[in-house]
Amino acid sequence: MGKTWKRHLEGYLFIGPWFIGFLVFMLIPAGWSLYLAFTDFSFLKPPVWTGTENVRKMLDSDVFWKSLRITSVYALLSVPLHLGTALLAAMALNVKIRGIGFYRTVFYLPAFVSSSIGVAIMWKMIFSDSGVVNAVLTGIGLDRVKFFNSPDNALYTLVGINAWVLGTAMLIFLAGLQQIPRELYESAKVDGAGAARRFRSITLPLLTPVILFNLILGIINAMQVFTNGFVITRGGPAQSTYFYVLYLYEEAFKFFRMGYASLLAWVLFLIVLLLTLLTLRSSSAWVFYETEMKGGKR
Amino acid sequence: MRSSSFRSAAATVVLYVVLSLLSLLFVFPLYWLVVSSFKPLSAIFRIPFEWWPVDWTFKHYKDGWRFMGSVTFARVYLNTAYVTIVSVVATVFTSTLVAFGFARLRFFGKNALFVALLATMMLPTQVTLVPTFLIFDYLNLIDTYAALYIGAFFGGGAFYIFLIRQFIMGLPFDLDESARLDGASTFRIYWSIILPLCSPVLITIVILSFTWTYNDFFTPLIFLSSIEKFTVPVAINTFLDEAGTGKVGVAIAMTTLSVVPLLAVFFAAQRRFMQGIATTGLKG
Repeated sequence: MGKTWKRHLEGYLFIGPWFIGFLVFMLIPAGWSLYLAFTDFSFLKPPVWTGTENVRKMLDSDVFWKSLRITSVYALLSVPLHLGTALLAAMALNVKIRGIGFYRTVFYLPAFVSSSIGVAIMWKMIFSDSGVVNAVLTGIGLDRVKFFNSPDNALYTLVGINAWVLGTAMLIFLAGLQQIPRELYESAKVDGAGAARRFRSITLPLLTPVILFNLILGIINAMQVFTNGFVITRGGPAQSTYFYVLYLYEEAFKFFRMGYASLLAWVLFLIVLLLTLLTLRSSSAWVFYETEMKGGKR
Repeated sequence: MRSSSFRSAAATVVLYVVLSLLSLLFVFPLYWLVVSSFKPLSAIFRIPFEWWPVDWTFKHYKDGWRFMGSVTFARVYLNTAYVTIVSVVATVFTSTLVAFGFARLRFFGKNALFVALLATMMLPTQVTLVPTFLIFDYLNLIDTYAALYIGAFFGGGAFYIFLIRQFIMGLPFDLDESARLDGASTFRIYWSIILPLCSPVLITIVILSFTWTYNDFFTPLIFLSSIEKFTVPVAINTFLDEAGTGKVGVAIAMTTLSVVPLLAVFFAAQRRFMQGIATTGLKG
């Protein structure tokens, strides 16, 4: 009896650091912010319960819908672009030639440095109105493009530069590709299947579990996009890159509407959760697990 | 036979060309940044591009080094190094401790707690942001370095714990059993047997937590207010705010300074690190 008690205690001592952190910096704050979401709270005065007032304010707010729309457009464009380029890069790197390790390293490099805001500033200067890209464009006789300084272009420029950081997804695809048995391709070749057919009937189906993993990560990251919108465009011009988390941040720490900001955070969580569950739910229709293959399904 | 080997040789050459062109695309922005930081203003946006500076200048670095009055970039580096080192060391220690508990010990509610751990990976940091700010305020942590590294003392992050736990699960259980028969305590099994075997995954953890802490912009943005405590990301962000558009050269130099430590770590550790990342998507 005393011995099992000691065993449980020992377990809790080991996971103790995480468990305390989980209570103090996760569970309590999450519950607290759920409460704050229904209050008027400006940090200086104690919170005042206002019921569904914040919800009504949010649903009536043009900025809320606008930031949600901008973030969704960003996710809808950047996730497929990101995954597509990462898969292409992984396929190009899935060969056994001399020096391939060097190329893999170089392709991965941007992903390693990309979360640095130094890289955001770098892009800001490269695509500025008098930056390198425009210098090249005018050099070959084309017109300047306002990449970040025009409400029509800024969002798409941010989508474009995000494709540069394909490294993490690419490495995960590459590991997936290397697990596909060579013999499958060999026998398909013998049967006369061309490269496109082999890609469609072997590579793509066998890669779907990895695609699912990258897709979910991509959606979660894209919905929480913040740094590039904050550092490069400051949400502008004309709020054209006013991402949801940027909106949330300004409500909390610029206008000190912390109750309302907490509601925005919970809504973001619910949206991300819903998108993840929908993706997982849809996966039974398109994700192909190896166990099915043994069952005789093609 | 000969024609097919010729064709495959041609295909290999084409592949090399394509890969090299793409590599250029991945490296050029960073190369542009570093090279431009040594060029006089007039040469930075000159076309055709100067692949190597014709007139070298270190003026941008000299101007940028003391960019915030008495606060030099050396101070910013020191702040960042302090926060990063404390974070990484604490993360390695606490995350392995917790991961060992989840992988090897049996205790009440273990499975439910592990599910809770995984669930926290889904929770966006924004959800806990406002109350965390209030808790830090109550604990007098606002505008302290501790606000930036305190999380490392509590497991360092669910993802790290998960990675290490998966790794420990793959180690043979006989190791623990025979050590226990020899009378080793649980902590001793963790410290002398499991931890040394974890070094491959720990390299991944060290690099991930280094880059995470080094690049973390959101946390210092919210919790630090004194310029003399600023870490690299908030420092260069503040600098850009104040410098405006007139000081492109200095901005490029400061940005280069912020990226160089990352590049150094990347080239020192890339091989083992990339293997670690590649496998995260396939286990789990």
